[in-house]
Amino acid sequence: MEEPNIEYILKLSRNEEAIKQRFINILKFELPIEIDAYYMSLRLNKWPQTMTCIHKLKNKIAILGLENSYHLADEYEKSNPNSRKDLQIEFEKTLTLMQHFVNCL
Amino acid sequence: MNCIIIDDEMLARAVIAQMISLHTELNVVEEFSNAIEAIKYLNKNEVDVVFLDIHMPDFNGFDFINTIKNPPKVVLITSDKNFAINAFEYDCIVDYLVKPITEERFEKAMQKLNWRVDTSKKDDTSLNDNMPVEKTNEFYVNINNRLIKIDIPTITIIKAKGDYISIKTDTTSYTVHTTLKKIEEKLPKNLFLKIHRSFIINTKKIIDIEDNSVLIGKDVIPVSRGNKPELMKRLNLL
Repeated sequence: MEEPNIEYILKLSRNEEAIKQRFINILKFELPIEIDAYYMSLRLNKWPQTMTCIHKLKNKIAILGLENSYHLADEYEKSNPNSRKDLQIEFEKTLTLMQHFVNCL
Repeated sequence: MNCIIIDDEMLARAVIAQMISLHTELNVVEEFSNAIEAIKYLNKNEVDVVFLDIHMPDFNGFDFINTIKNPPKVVLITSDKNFAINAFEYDCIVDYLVKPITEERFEKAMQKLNWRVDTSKKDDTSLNDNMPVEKTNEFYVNINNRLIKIDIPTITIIKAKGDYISIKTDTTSYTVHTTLKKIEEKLPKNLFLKIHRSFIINTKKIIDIEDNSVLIGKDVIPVSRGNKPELMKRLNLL
């Protein structure tokens, strides 16, 4: 499985520590909220809301350089509810991976 | 130029704000996590540019543009290229950026934005100075992110094709994502005529007319019964 990285953030912050830290702080704050929102809407079988959550999380996946996971998430977002358990499993693995990575930053 | 950022993701807003910060001509005056708050703000304040996320819950970017009376220049931000196709329907949209936005792509968008602002200023100046407004003989169409100049007098036929139109000139054909109605507004009325719900023609290019069709180059174009009297009026009949 591919590994997350902060290359995008480093490039964007142009080696300025304060800017880099600001992005990381936002990630640390926003990612768990979005992950919780995803699981909540999924549990309540609210597919449109779930799609919105996946859509938002896709941006974080891309920012953390997870290209393959981004494409899978994109496919998952566009799939019919409950029709692609395989994509759901992969997506949720990505969420765990990202959260773990962000926690360690 | 004062600008606002509308995106429901805090990280996305921070990314855009960071890129904007490298442009001294742009000044972020406010950020919004939803379009409705931004509309309330714009009811009381004027801005020059809006960086607008398309995909937002409840009230998306296009809903926002449709709600604003005189929308400022808009740079769309999206994760989904397919959404951006609709962008060509709106004059206020300068460009669209696909997330995650790269600095290189952002620079291109800023070039387009500055170009559009310069053009608007020139238009304003000529109007303010009461100078005689020179009629433009060309327009630009956006094809695959390239603005291509088309000389209006060289246009022979414009045909509606679903969500697109095909513009045929003396030498080339272009397919553009817009409507026949929109392009009709850009054309000089003395030269062009809608002769069918799917066709606008350059009347100077007509070779012959037979029954309910006209010949332009090698193309035979149908003429609707309702449009034929206007067409006949335009001809210099002996």
